[in-house]
Amino acid sequence: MIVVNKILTTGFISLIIISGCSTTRIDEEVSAAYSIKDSESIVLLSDSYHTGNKTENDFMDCLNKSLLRKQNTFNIISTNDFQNMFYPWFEPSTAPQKIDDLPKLLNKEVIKNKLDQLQIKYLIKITGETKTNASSGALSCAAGPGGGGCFGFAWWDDTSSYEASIWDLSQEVSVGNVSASVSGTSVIPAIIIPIPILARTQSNACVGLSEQIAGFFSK
Amino acid sequence: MKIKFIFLNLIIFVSGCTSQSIIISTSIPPPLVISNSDLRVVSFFNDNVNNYQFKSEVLEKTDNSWEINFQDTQKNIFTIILNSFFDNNNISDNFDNISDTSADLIIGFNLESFELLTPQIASNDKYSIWIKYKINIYDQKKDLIQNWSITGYGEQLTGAFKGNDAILNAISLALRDVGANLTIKLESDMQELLNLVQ
Repeated sequence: MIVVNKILTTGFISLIIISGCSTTRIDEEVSAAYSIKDSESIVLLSDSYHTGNKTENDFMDCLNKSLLRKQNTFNIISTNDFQNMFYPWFEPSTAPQKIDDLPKLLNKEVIKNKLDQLQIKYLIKITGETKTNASSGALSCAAGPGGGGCFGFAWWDDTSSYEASIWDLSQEVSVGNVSASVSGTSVIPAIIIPIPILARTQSNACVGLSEQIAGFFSK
Repeated sequence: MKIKFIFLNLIIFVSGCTSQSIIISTSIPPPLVISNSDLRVVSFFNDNVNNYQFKSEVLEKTDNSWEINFQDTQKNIFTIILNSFFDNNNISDNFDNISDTSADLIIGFNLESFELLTPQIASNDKYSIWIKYKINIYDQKKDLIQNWSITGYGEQLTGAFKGNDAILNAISLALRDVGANLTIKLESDMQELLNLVQ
């Protein structure tokens, strides 16, 4: 019994080590001068699914909340509020996809006035997604009148890779890019009860990218 | 034991032929546009815009069958857009009830097609929705002066959504996209419309 317990304990410690084995890569690129005042605001906007981008809604929610917690230098207008206030100019099919599209949009007086009124200085365009690269193993579950259970072992590799391009709306230029990429392995061992040990690549990328954005403006 | 077995079979049988019924009640924010107070506009909506009910076709029954009740959502969305563009916008029951010279511009809405792609049909992890409207624009004399096709597309990954939330969100996005495309069309063609009715 003691031997079995030792094996199980060793197995679980190994699994925790495997799930903790994730790598994070962050990058920053500055291409123009920038500054932000206390009263000014920024907005996060994901690239359109019309162009094949698959940035998840929950990632955008996480990024908005995380950035709000990590700094108090500037205001953050939530993506949904911004899209509603400026409807329909920043919708998936109408929002500017590249910096060259900005002048055409900002030439409209109603949009320019509203941006000035809300003191929105930077628009941060988010691209990227979480992908499963590889998966393996087998897990089978069975249930009967007398009870049920699972047996097996399954694992998969996820990569969460996101990039933020920071646009200055007053100068109509891109001032820089920051990115975060997190890879990790999740495992589910099952002896009667499945125990998922998940590598939270998406939430780690969210934290990493929000720290990058907050750090970008604090310099 | 036998009762348990029968009950289990019954659950499997029932879950094998489900019909999903959903009601749409989404809306859009008023568009950020400059309004016109000079034009008198009357809008009318065909039955498939007033109260459309979608029922999935035979091909789509490889999946659950879907019944989608739009209620007056489409009509409300178009009315929000027209009210933002025109201070003087009225709604008529139908085209025939609109008297000559009662409006400078008459705008009629007709739903041409609604298409739904589920994850099961498309073998992917998202719901995709296409909507297409035909919009006819008439002058004071009720002569057709413009004919527009306005489309909308919405897609939603099933990911973190529960129940029917993913398909509801895909439909909301598609209707919102219709509203965005109509607003942009009206905004870009406004001067041309003014020239045609003067």
